[in-house]
Amino acid sequence: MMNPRMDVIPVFHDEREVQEYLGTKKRLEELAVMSGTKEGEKEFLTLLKRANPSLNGNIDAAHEQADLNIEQLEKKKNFLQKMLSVPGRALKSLGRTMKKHPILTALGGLAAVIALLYFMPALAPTTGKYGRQLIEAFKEVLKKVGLPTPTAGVDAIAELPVTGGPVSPDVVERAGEILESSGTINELSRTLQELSKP
Amino acid sequence: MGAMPTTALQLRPEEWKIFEELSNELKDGWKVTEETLSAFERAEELEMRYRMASFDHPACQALVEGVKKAKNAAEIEEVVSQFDIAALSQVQMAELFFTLGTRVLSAMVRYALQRAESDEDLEGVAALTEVRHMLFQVNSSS
Repeated sequence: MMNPRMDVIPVFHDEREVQEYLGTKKRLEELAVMSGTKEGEKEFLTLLKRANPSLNGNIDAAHEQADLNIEQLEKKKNFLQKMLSVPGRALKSLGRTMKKHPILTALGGLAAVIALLYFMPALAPTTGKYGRQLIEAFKEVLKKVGLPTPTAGVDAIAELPVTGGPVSPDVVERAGEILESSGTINELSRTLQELSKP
Repeated sequence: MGAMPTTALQLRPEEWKIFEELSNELKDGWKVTEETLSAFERAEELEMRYRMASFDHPACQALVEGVKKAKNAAEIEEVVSQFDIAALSQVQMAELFFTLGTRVLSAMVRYALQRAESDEDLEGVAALTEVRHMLFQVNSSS
């Protein structure tokens, strides 16, 4: 199965961004189930078309992207609620363990940096300089914790300048990718695909 | 479900084997239950999580600045290994583990378990397994 595209419409970082883009007050949990019924799906497509009338032939891809985005936002919201119930003592233990094993800390740090440098509009324009090295470091650390990923793709990463363009004139301030480095993002996708294999 | 006590580990079968190889002294007093959930993320789910992540904590911003000064992958690894994850808020920590996903968390559990030398170390593993269990629960919800 082909992976859904993730560049058709802006990526939403929270419920407010989804609501603003679609022009609706529906909550995440309501939006997440809309595609489950024909009537709901029709309504959702109407919202998407109204938000971006120029989607035309990309409406199905936009729908798929939005569905995945909303589904993951809802899961994140639920996970956060669960995390808030974790006792402080357990979190302290967790922090101590991460500190004791710098390689685990490095994994967490790299995930944050990749998310920030690749996908945050304010920082993404600088990614081209660091993309290849970041992915190399990520793969190296994954290997050290017992999650080897193929190295073949690394050499294929071009030292690309940052490419891409504005995704939509009505993108809310933080939403969506303004600029991204396609070569390194493809490599990140390959790495994540490898990670997802049983 | 309420939070697990910190003397309980929720382990997958391969992790259970690692635990069994620890000294009896270290294992003493620890309750182990089997992690029965296995709803790992699909690649597109993980990629979406990276794309929608919001790391706005000053520690994350400082980390980015440090990485920008690194000259190569080895230096990047050195910089990120100094990251003080414990300084993050609970919300940002949740963001981080959600983005990393259950496979990476499982690798962390195995890594820390193999190197556990004290009850304090196992408490950290227990916390990691608890976080992973919550993530499995969320992943398997429709």
